[in-house]
Amino acid sequence: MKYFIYLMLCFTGFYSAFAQVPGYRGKKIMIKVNAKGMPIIGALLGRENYFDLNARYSVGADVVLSKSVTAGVSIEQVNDIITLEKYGNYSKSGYNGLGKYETQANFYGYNFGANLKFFTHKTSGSIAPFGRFFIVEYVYSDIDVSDDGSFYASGKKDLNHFGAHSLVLGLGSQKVLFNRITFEANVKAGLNSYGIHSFAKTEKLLVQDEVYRASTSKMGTDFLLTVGIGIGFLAF
Amino acid sequence: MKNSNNIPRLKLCFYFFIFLGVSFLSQAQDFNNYQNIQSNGNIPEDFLTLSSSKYQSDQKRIAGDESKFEKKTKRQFYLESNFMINELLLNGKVLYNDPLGNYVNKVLDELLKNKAGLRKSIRAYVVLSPIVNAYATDNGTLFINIGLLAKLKTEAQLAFVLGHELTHYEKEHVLNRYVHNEKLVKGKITFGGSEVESQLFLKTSYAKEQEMEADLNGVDLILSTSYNPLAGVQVMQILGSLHPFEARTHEYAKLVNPEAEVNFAYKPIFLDSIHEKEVSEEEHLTHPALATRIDKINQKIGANGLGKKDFVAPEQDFLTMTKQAQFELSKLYLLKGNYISALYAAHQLLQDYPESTYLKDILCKAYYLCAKSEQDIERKLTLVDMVYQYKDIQYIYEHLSQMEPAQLNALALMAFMKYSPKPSADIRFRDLLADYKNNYAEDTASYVVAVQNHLKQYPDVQATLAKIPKKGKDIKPKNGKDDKKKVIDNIIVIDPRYKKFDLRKKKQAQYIASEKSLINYHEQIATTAKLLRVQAPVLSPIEMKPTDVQKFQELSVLKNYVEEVFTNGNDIIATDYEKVNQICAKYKSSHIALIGTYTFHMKKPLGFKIGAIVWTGIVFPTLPFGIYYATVPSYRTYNYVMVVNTLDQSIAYKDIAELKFKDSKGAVNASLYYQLLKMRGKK
Repeated sequence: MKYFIYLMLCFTGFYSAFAQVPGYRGKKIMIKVNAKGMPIIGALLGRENYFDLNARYSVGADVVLSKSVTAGVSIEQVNDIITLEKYGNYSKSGYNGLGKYETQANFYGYNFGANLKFFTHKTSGSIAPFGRFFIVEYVYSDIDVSDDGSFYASGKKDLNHFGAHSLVLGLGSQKVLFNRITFEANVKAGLNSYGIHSFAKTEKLLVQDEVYRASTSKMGTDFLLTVGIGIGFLAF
Repeated sequence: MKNSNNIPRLKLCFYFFIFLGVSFLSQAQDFNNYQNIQSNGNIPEDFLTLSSSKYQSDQKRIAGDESKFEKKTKRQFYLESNFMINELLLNGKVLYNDPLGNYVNKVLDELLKNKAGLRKSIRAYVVLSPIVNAYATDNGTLFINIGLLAKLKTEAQLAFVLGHELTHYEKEHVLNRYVHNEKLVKGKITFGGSEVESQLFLKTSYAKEQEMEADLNGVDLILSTSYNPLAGVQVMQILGSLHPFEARTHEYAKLVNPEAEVNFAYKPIFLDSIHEKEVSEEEHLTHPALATRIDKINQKIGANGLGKKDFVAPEQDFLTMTKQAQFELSKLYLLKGNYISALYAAHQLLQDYPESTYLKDILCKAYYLCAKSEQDIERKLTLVDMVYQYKDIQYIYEHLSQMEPAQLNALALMAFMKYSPKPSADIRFRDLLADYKNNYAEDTASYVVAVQNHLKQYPDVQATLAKIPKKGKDIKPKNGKDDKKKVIDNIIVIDPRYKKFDLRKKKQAQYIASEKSLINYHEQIATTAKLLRVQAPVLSPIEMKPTDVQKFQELSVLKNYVEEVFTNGNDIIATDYEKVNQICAKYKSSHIALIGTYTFHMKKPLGFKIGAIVWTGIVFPTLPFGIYYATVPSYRTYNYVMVVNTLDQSIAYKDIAELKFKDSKGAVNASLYYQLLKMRGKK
């Protein structure tokens, strides 16, 4: 009960602090679902197909802080497959032998994002959350790389687990439809800090370097250039 | 012996004379306590039908066998014409079911008593405008300005004017001229010479042909009635004269010197010859020269004018009508800021109606306007051109323009002392006193000193003067910092505007889309105001029912008020200040809001389009964005909110928001909400 009262007090305080913030007709909080893709980049820099969209889905919420600024948080699920190169015995097209061959691993985890959107009021007349914006986003990625059964013959699953920080910049536009629904389109470009912060739980194995290379390459290409859309609901 | 039978007859005669006397007295009292004419009864359908509906029905008038060009041109004409006529009908200056309009319609009845079909399709309305003009539209609406009615001398002259305008309607002159001009533009008609010269010549000569045809047909129409056809010639002579009043000396000069009341010697100045100017520029005019028109009309009449009447209805009705028009005219001059013409008109009329409180009020307001306006050199200069067209009025201007501000202030104070029943209670008088106390009290000019001495004889004026704070005004502060902090949560929104333009097209105004958006805009304003808890009743013809005549009148007053404040400046108390504040009090507000949206579709420069495709092509995953950018037009949307405080006439709030995107509902809502939030201020 005590926590509930604290929560209500915080909420009331928040609302009175932003009483003069226009929002969209007074509505300042949005709940959103987003989808983004990284077309072609993965194929250019990594070992992916040209038409591999690498779609990601996220949920989030934005709150209008001022006439031109919104702050948002999001959580995005990562559920991909990466290609690993392995040296050993393999069998392919009726051929059995020793050599290099490609196998796959699961790339699974979450991206936790926090962003600020700056609506360009002076140059375009945008009023948060309506109109054109610049976005600055911080993303923390928490990823598990696991064997699908073809990497370790021993049945061991975990290949790697790592976290990474990313800084993303972008621009986009957001519309409001039917006074309740928001529609957003954006283009973002970001840098991933995999070289600065990563850790592995796996033992020092011969294969670890390959897993590390493939994982970080995937992370890097994922953030380099993304195109996204989002649909939201102006809650209150 | 006493004849008892004579007693009832005497009684009857006595009653009859009493009745006659009262009738005359009441006639005289009408003008001594004159009230401005106004619309009455239900609002006519003409005013409330949407322009787009009128356009839809007009399109049926286009014949199927016409060429593609003519069909297209006529459609465009009906579109533009219907929107323009509605704009005119709803600008607050057109009256309906008013005494002057009723009289004009009676003359129309007489004129068209043998043409019942035509009569049914004609509606005549009087326009509150001092300009001497009347005009016909293609849909049977005739407009007659008060400026013209005030100048006419006989009922037959009015009949001729109406006959002339009816010809324009019957012969579809406006439509034909539009089609003709479009053909010229498209090069379908040519006439040697340079293109511009050729077009100008063909345009004006066609217009002149139509005017001459209207004159001669007007005469034909008159000849078919009991009206005197010579009225046509008289109307032309009247159009050549400059103002509706007889040249007489009046009281103006007496005011100039309060002590001696000596006549002021007018200084004659050069007067540009209007006649000469007209002849020399005839080829560029759309109307033939007056002399040519008079000749043609005389030829047409021949000997047919004998024995015809100048008046069919009682002459008194006509005289009352023109007098009302002249009374209205004096106020219309004021609303336009032309205080010199207002002074002239009111002084002239006051000679016939020396007890008229209406005229005295006009005089007070005109002298007040004169004293306040003369402080503004720029405004003074713009008045010169207007004034120099009027031979007699220029004398007043010449005199006033030579007076120092202190003298003008003294002159206006004197006018209030002479004409106002209780000067100290008048807000304008107090404003003049404040100017006097703060700026001119130390002035040693003899005229100012004379007025000072005069004012000293009135204790109530001295008491009022003492109450006025030094370096302040009796009305509330203007544009002060205090105003910015005030909460504005009750406004009267008058006639919101929504206009769309597509600058990529030759015909840029998007009339139908604009009207559709305007209907939604009313709802957007109402919802936004409700969300912000701002009381915002919207006075707009779009939302009115035929029975909303009072709202319609209120809207007219408020619109004219705002126009006057913007014309004369917000430091001058407007002519209808008191009436406006009464209306505002009814709505429990003291703020009038003008709200509108203008949106423009534009071409993007080719370089921008190519650049977008090239750049996004280099970073090719973003190419769809580049293609989108290159294919959609560029937009600019402007939302404005302007709030006038009716108590101190200051601009309490103004904001124009520029949005560089389409006027979607979301964009307009977002901008409108933000503007009204800022306007409301902190609660």
